[in-house]
Formats: sequence, C-alpha cells, structure tokens
Amino acid sequence: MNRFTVLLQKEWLDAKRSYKLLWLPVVFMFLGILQPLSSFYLPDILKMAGGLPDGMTITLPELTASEVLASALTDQFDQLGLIVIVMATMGIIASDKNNGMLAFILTRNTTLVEYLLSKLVGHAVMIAGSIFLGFLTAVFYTFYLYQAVSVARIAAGLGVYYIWCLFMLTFVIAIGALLSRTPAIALLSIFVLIFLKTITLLEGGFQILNPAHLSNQAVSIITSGNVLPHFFITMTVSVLLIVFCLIFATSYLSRKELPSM
Amino acid sequence: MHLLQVSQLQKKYGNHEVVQNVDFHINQGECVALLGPNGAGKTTIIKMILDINKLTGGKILLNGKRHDQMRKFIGYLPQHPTFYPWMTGRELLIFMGGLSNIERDILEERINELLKLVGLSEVENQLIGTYSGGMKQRLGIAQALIHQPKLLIMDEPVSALDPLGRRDILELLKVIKQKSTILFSTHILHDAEELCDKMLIINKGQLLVNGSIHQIIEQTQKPIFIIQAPRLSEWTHQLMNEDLIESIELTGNAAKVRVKNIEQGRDWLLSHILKAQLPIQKFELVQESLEEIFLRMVKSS
Repeated sequence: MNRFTVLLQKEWLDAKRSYKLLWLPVVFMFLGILQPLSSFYLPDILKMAGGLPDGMTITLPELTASEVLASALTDQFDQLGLIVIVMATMGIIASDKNNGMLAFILTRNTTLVEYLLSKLVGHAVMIAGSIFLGFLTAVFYTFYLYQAVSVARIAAGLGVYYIWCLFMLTFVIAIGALLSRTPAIALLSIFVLIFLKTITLLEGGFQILNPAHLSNQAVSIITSGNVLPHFFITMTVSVLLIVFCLIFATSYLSRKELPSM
Repeated sequence: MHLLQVSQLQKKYGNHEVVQNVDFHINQGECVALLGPNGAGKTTIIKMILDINKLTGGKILLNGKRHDQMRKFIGYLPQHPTFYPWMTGRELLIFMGGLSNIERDILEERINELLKLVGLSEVENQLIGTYSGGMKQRLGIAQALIHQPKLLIMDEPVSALDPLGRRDILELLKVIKQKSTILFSTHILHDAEELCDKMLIINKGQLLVNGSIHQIIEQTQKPIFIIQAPRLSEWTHQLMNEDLIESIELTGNAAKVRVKNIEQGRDWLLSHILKAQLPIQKFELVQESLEEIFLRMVKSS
C-alpha cells in the first residue's frame, strides 16, 4: 500500500470520528430542501403570517421547476453552502501545521505533494457527496411539488458547479498553508469567495476569468440546456487556478520551517 | 564509516547563532546523550538531523549519505508527542507503519511485538486522547521503532514525566539500547549518566565536551577545596579578586573554592585562613563530581 492511500485512509477516519462525514451532507440536504419548499409555500407562509395589508398586492413570479433548481444553487449552495464548505475545510492544513503533526509526518519520507493531495482528494470526495445528496433532495422535492426536469441537464449543471466548489476547496487549502490562525483563514476565504460570487452579478467581460461564473454557467445549463458564451475559457481558467493554488501551497510549505512538536 | 557524522553544523536565525560549528559522530551500537541546559540548542540540532529545520551551514551524513535522503533511517520521538487524539494507539502505529511502506501482515506482527515491549497491549484500542503523558511517550517510542530504524533519536524522552513514569521509560530504554543506536537529548545529567556511555555537552549552541563519561571525568575533572567555617561570607568576599582563585561558591557555612594551581592554592588558602583567624571546622581537597563538571562548564561558557 502506498503512502497516499495511507494518508487518504487517515483523512477518512478523521472525517468519521469528527462526524464531518455526517453533518456536511446533512447541512447540504437541508439547504436542498429549503429552496423548493420555500418557493412553493411562500404564498401560504405569507398568508399565515397575517397576510398583506388591505389594498396591497404583490405578484409572486411563477417559477418553473428548473428555475427553482437553479436558485437552489445560487441562493442556497452559493451562500450558506459556501460558508459551510469554508468552515468544514478551514482547519484541515492549519491544525496539522500548528500542532507539529505535518512536520512529524514529513520525517517519514512522505512528501508534501502526497500530503496535500490526500487532503484535497479526501475533502473533494466529501464535498462531491454532500452536494450530490443535497441537490438530490432539491430535485426530489422539485419533482414532487413542481414537475420533472431533464436529468441530463441537472447532471451536467451540477458537474460544472462542482468545479467551482473544487476551486473553493483548493483556495481554502492555499490560504490554510499561508496562514496559521483558523479564524483568519475562514474570514479571508469567505471574503474572497463571496466577493468573486458577488461580482458575477455585474456585467462585464472579466466574468469569463472568474471561477464563480461557473455557477452562472450551471444555472444556464439547468434552465436552458445551453452554456453561456466563453464557457471553455472559464472552465480552463478555473482548472488552472486550482492547479496554481495547489502548487502555491506545496512550494510555500516546502520553503517554510514548519512548527514541530 | 560512522553511522551519523555531523560536521561544522550551524544554524542562524537572522544574526542570532543558535548552533555554532558543532562536530560529532555516532557509531553503530552507541548510546549518546546530548546534554545541556534549556535553550542550549539540543532540539535545534535534533531537528536539523531530521531535516525538519534546515541547516545554515555544515553537513550531516547518515551512513555516508546526505541526511535529507535518509529519513527512513531514523526513528524519531518528538519532545511533546501529541499525535492525533482521535486515533487509537493501534491505529496510529498502523498509520505510521503505512507511511514507512511496511507490508500489512509484517506490520500487524510488528505492532503486536512493539505494543508488548512498551506495555500498551491492553489499551491499544483506546483513543490516544485518553492516554496519560507516560503512555503517549511509550506510544511515541513504539512508533519510532516501527520501521526498525538504524538510529533512534529522542528529544527529551523523560523530562516531562513524573518520577515513576521516568523510571519506567528509562528501564524500557535500557532494553531498547541493547539492539539500537540511540541519540537522545536531556537537561538532566543523571539520566544521561544512567543510560549512556557517551556524552555531548552543549551550551549556547557550542559543543563543550564530547566523549565517554570516563574520558570526561579524567580529562576535565578539577580539584576543589571545601572550607567550612562560621561567618564565611565576609572572608570569601575578600578572596574574590585574588589572581590565584578561579571561583568561589558559597552554600550555607561551606565554600567550594577552585584554584588555578593546587599546591600554591593550598598554601595560600591556609596562610590566609590563619591570618584571618578563621575558626575553620573543615578544610578538604576533593575531586569534582560529574555534575560539578557539567555545571562548571555550562556556567563558564
């Protein structure tokens, strides 16, 4: 058995013992349920809350099933979901680094690349599973309350969206390599990622270089079945940024004298 | 060829020299203590051998090869082994053994042997978070031995333990010593003396003495006059600035006086005592103990 597998097994055991393997999917499933339910029952909820004042009327837009699913991505996963992903991963490098475990593991002929890849793959699988299950519940309730949407579109959209999530993960890993204090790692990561997400609301050509724009691409795929222009450029840029974050983390950590026990 | 060869080892943080031109070597089968007060540079030297800290000068060879390519050669027990509190003792050994590429069935067998050796067989399935300090130290020793390293390096293996735990670990190390080459650091002379045949005494990053305990005593031992009398402090005060006197240590009503030349020193001291009409109760010439040698060297460096 090689060292990468050994490290990956350790990540898995850690996730099991810390219940991350349980709460991460559960949170995403909750977020997945929230969107179709709240969209569908909003008129009733308003009525039960006392209704609107006399004479005031609002028209709630008639949402299609695919729009409901798309907003599960942009309104739930991209906001609370993003924060949850950062929270779940903010300590994965910093804790090993600070308590000396990383330096200690490296005395065993292990390389930083093996170590970081085990962190990346372990959490990438966990995030993939959580997003899949979360979206599955959203799809289930949407199909039940609204109507069916093409499964192929949903799968393709979710696949594209996952690349944006992978970018979040590697970005947090890079910041975790750079900084030591987890609150600082969380704040900086959330700030930058939310910023990237927010500027996708703006018009402008620079969007194609923004990995958060993949979330818009996913929405477009789910609602219309087509991608927005320059899809492959955004995709390539995102993958390159992911690789860059990993290379940055590796070279920064290998140059630094790590704290040890 | 030496098992470990350290030459002109140097470590600087900015302008601060933590380790200065340290030279020593260790042969197969030896047990060597790295002895020095806190902050002497012991841990830094160990971490440089392990390639955790980078050298700013000098060379470290393990079996004639550069140390950064010979990591699997070394078993390492850190100063504060914390490991993962959510792992069980056995899981940690499986993890560390896996990182050293040991085949699974050989590993299982070796883990059983080591758990027996360090006396943790009964708690192997408990979480490390519930272990006591001594148990963590034992587990640390087991993981350091799991890949059957040529050299076992331990950073202060007994310093943080209570007297009972300390005794346990020392006895365990005596067993391990018969089969392995050991380098361990300590600030307690007694531990070094009990376990090892060779000592490296360092202070402020410099190697002061290097040799077997016998050699150190023979080559560096100095005689001391012990003078006991009431109201000594006034008298010793007058001696402070004399050329012949090297140092005076006053404890209660006894003074330990080191002189530069024994014959002259004795005559001078005696005549001076007479002159001062000091009512002495004791005037004795003794040889320094190892501890006194150690303290003198550390103080004078």
